[in-house]
Amino acid sequence: MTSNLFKMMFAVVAAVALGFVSYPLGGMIMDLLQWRNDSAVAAQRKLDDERNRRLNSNRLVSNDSPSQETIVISDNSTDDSSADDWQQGFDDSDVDTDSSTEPESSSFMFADGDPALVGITEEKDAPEVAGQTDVVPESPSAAQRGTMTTSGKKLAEVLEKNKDSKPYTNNEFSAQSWTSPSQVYSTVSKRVLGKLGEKPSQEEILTFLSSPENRRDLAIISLCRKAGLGELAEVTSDPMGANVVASLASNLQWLTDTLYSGPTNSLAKGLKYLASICANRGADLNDPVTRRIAITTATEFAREGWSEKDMLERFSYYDSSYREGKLNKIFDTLDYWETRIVTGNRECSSWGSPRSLAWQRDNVRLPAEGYLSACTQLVYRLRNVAGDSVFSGDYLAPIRAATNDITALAYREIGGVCGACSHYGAYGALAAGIPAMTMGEPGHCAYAVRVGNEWKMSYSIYWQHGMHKTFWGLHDWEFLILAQDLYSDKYTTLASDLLSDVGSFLAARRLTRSAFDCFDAAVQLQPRNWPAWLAFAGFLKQKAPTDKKRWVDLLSRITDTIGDKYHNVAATFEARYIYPQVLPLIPNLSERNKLFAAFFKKCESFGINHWDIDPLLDAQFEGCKTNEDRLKFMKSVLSTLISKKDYSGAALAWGMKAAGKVDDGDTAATEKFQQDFSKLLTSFMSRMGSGKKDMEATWAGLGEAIFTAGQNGDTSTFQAIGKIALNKCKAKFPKYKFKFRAFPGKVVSSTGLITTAVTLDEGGVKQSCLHWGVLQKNGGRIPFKFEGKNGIKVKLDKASDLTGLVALFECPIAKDRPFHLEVSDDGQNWVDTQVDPEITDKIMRFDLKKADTSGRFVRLIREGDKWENSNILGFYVYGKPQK
Amino acid sequence: MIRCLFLLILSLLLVIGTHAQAGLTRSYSEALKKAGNDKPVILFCYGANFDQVGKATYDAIIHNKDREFMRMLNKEIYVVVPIYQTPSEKEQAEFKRIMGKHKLPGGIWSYPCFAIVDGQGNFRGAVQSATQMENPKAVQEALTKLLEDFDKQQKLLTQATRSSGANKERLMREALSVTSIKPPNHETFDPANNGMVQKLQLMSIAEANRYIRGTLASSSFTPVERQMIMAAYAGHLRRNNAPVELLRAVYTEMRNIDPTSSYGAYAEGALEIWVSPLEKK
Repeated sequence: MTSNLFKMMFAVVAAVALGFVSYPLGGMIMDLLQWRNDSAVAAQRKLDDERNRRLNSNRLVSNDSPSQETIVISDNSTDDSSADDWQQGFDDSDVDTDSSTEPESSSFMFADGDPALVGITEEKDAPEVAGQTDVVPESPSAAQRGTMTTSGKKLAEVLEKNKDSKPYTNNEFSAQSWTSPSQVYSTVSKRVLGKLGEKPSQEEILTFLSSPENRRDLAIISLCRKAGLGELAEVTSDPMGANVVASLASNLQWLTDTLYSGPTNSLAKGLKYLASICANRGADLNDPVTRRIAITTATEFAREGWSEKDMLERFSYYDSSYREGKLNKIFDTLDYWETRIVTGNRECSSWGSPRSLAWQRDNVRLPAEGYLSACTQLVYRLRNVAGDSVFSGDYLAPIRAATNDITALAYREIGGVCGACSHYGAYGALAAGIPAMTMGEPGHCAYAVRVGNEWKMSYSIYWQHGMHKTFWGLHDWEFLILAQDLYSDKYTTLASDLLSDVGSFLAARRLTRSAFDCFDAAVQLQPRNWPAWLAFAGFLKQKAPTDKKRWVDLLSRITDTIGDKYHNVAATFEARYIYPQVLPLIPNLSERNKLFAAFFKKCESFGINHWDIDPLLDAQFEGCKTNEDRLKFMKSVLSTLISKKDYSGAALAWGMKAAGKVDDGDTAATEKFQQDFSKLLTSFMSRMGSGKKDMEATWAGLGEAIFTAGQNGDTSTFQAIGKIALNKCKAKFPKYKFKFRAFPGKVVSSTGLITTAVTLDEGGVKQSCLHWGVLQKNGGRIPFKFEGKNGIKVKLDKASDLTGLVALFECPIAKDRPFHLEVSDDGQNWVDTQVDPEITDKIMRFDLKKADTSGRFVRLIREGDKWENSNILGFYVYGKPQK
Repeated sequence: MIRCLFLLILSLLLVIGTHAQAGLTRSYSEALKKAGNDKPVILFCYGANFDQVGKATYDAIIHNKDREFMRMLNKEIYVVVPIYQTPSEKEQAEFKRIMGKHKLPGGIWSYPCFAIVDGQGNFRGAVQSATQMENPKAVQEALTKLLEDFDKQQKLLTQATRSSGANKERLMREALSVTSIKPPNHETFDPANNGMVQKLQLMSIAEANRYIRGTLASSSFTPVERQMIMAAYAGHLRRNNAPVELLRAVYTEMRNIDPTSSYGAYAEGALEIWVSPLEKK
């Protein structure tokens, strides 16, 4: 017995031991490792601080006694200290004492047109060189441009080869020297001019740029010109400012990163901010990541005009997050231009506040692509559970304190609408150091996150996207893609930037001919370089404003080089910067129409993104001064575009809008024009294909056109397009056989116009012919939304005495909110019919026989607001048209 | 001797069987199968290639086999799921091998995290906030509590299905009051999106009170849902200038349902910013 018991015990112990052996991941001998080595981080931080202090104290070095010879760059600083600097090293004869008329920096804005297009202020001491001044040469031939591209590519290769070698440094100018930027500028520009000579060719300029020493000199010139000497002197009047500028200017890589990673507006302020980061946060610019964070934060905050306090907080957030290893690994390898999108994110006091960013960084930690769906972490609530609207301060008020004013957390607890959801997604990515941004769409907010090298949209419902972070103030999606493509082609872009900068410098030195060559080469080498195109156009506007050949050449080059892929970019450039110059120089309409048509020959489809053709066509249309010209132009436009499936609808819609705006003050002539245009439109629409192959395109085109007619309140066009659509695309219309009790009289709405409060997305717009169907016997489909006074509205062809309304819904009608039927004579002043509807399942009837109701407009609204996703299939207003 | 051998084999089978049920499971499907109706499956999801925090957590707990943590984890069915950023083909294959045709459950907001699902794959809860994930000890505490809550709720739900009448109601109410665990197949009641707020707009204060009290009598609401319903009611009172005493009473009641929840904090905030100023007037 004892033996048996012993054996049993042995068996159990053996089994348990065996069990332990088989215990999954049973290694339990390792000690608990430290979770995060906070003390090491703290020690590192202390070390960094100490190093910063040492660096800062070492930065004040002796004066290098710069050359006293000077070149004047315009400046109108009124600050006393900078006025002293201004006087240093100048011969009295060189100085224009009437500085009040001078522009602040080396560029000026033209009195007319877009502020992006700037001219170049010539330096007062620049000599007149024979064969250079005010001479814009003949444009290079195609062969010359080909050679130039090859040489430019070689320069790009040189720049790329240099990337791994030690950066070029030169301590020629100490912090003390920089207290007088005009002297530095004078010394360097004289040296550069000496090397380039009076008439440098493109080849000579490219050879000049292949030397790092020369590129550093050019960068110093650009730094001075872009910041402005007066403003720069203000920055360097502070010892830390002088130290920072001296450090930057001594290192070619640092200069390049600062000057060629995006726009440099308010550069002096950016340098001041950079000095502030060093002074107040002890940033060590020798650390590559700290330097990248510091420079991008400083330049972006200065450019956007945001406060120094917010800038410092933003810097600290990214710097400390990086040091603590809390950012996504994507951040580690971002280039400067990409880091600008991250560190320069908006909403400094809410979504972009350090506390909200830190919360998202630690609580919404996802792989890059995960942020595209992070918006769904918020519950969509127009009104919160307490019934307070998202547009009121009460929505979040009670939770603010408990969430420590962390915007992202507060919205996650309470919910939000598209704006909050999109910000949550975008700022989640930004908090982790991943490029992202929110974007506006009509009545909606969406966002984009960059995954790999590709920008991806999220929460988007419409084709129009107004990006909330831009480099050039242009908000369309295509400009974001352009920036991505431009800066990804890093070294070609850098070579192009350098050429453009040489061009600006030479233009300021009145070496116009050589400057032209540089600008021409810059856009030839990198056609995606939007700022280089602007600089070129600004230069031409200044030097050859009425040179038709030059402007037509520019127009053709834009069309040929980037019009192929970036349709919207090319169209924007042409409409904004070329047409205002070139159209007055081409009085002949057919010559103009030929040029216009050349653009659309490049566009078979919308390309990168559906884009708005209206501004381009508006700019072209503006040149037409008589109704005859206008009709000819419209005929030309429709002839070109009606056969292009992406553009046909947009062209029809544009035509209707443009024609509606024509009013010469002569009523009879305007009416005649409208009638002629209507005939033209009908004839073009009738030509649209109705076969199986073409039907989709025709349906979409007519949908866009009828949608515009609806928005314009143009009943006759709405009806005309509806009928054409029924004729061309009969298969698209439903054939409902509704059963309901009608009211006496005619269906007066069948010749009217119906609109909905729903913001339609691209797909919805294409289905807009079904809205017309809703008014017809066999029905159609129109989505509805009832929010306050917004609902379904019908404009009748004529004012009518009404007997009733029947509305047929797609789904059973919820009775949780009362409906109201209102009528109006003018579409502005509404009267409630005070009649309650009779609702049976999906059918709603308003009996108006006893209500003595009349009007031209009828609208169906509902109390309160609630998101509903359904459609109305039939909407019939009964009555008798008034005489 | 034969009996002894038989006992030994039996004991072995027993022990091995027990361990086969628990511990690391290589695939999610297998884990769900093992979990059956009552056991939870723990998914440890971590960022495998995109940040240092994910890696540090993995190293500290799994790779270095944190002794106490692993002791706890090995009593449960768990799956380790590496989450990759822009995964390579190999990484995609690895993910597919673990997850099969299944998707990660909804409710995961951040990595690294420990998510708990039931045998049917329903998301029931997670340890995922920065505070909970601060260090292995904090994770362990939060996860232990979550697992206890899961067991507690599961038992109550099982008892409730076997009961009827008032007893069932009581058990259901108790099950739903386990706030950290989301009941299975429970669709959150949202007064903002299901028409309750609109309905209240048309009611007098007295009608609203009757309506809300009637609604709250049901046992099918979680404490947070009850607080949300109270918020809807209180919002209606506030906008209709109800007596301040009533407002205080409603917000206080709302807060006391669960002072630690976000709507508990909301009620506290409402008392502070809306009720107190009215009382001072």
